[in-house]
This record gives sequence, structure tokens and C-alpha cells, in this order.
Amino acid sequence: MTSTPTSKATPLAQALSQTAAPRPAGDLAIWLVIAVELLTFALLFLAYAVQRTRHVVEFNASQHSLDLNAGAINTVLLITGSWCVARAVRSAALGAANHNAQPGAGDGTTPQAGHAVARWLLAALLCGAGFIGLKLQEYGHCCWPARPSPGGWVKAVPHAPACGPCC
Amino acid sequence: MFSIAAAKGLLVILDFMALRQAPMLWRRLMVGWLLALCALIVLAYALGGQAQPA
Repeated sequence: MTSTPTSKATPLAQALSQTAAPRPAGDLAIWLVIAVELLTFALLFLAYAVQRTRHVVEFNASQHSLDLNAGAINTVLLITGSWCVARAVRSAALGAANHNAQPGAGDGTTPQAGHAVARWLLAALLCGAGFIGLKLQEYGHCCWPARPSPGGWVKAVPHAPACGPCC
Repeated sequence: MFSIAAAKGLLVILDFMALRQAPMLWRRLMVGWLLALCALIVLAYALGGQAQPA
């Protein structure tokens, strides 16, 4: 296995790190952001649940206007993109650990790890581009002008086929 | 569908947020939040009825 970042620590620091209680990753700022996100989405889903029980017909009608296949593909693209970013972070951390384990090495990473990070991030970008492309394919007809007009992005196709709630 | 979403959320909490080795309190807080939300949405569908095919 590769050396850990604590390999250069003093025996006392190593002993403390082994006996210290495990802590969650990240600092206070990121956990504050996560707490705000959790609260926001909890309120959002609570409002969704309450409103859905009160307006079932409208919610079901809106649900039928969505493209299930596009939604499924978009979900896969988003999850895959997140996974690619997570792999890039992992590659960067491993590269930094391997680089720092070399005697006399300063801060940095190995070239192999840098290439791996670039590849994972490129894959994540492709997933993001695919997501945007699919969204444009879904809703582009609602906003794209049929011909050039001074208004630019306007509703120029009011009766497009399979037009969802955006039109 | 909800079980797939819950499983994905569990993986995100335990692996992507690296809470698998964190103290039990943090894991219980996050997993409890996830399960509560899933239960809330399932309850909303149970009370309001499923969407019928178009």
C-alpha cells in the first residue's frame, strides 16, 4: 500500500491520531452549507407532499406531461458525472499522497495522477454537456425562435407537438 | 423507484460524504433525514393516490 500522510509525523502525533475519535470529513463551513441544503430540501419536499395531497389531479396531470425516458437518462448522467468528480478527487488525493511520500518532495502530485484527474473531469464535463443537450432537446422548442426577431428568445412555436408545461 | 432513490442517497451519505467511518451520531442524523424524506414522499403518494397512466 502507499504511505499515509502521517508517515512523517512524530510518534506522539501518530499515537494521538490513532487514539482520537473519528470525525466527519470537511470543515465547519462545508457542514453549514450541507445543513442549509438539508433544511431547504426538507422544506421543499414537505411543501410538495402537502400540496400533492391537496391537488392530486393537477399534480398527476403535470406528471404525465414529463418525458420519463429523458428524466431517466438525465438522472444517469448526473449520477455518473458526480461519480466521475468523486473519482477525480480520489485520484488527486492519491497522487498527492504518493508525491509527498517521496523524500524531499514539496507540495504537488504525480504526473500520472494529474492525467487521471484530467480524464475524470473531462468525463464529468461530457456528462454535464449531455445533460444540457438533453434539456435543450426537451425544452428548446419552447424558447427557440422560429425566425430571427428583435425579441430574440421568445415563444415562437406556440403549438409545437408534445409541448410540455413550459409552453 | 423509491428504494432505488433511497439506496443512492445512502451511498452518497456513507461513501461520497465519507460518513461510513464518522461517529454514529452523524450517520444517524443523515440517514434519518434521508429515511424521513422518503417516508414523507411515500406518505404523500399513499394519501393522494398514484398517478394514473395517460
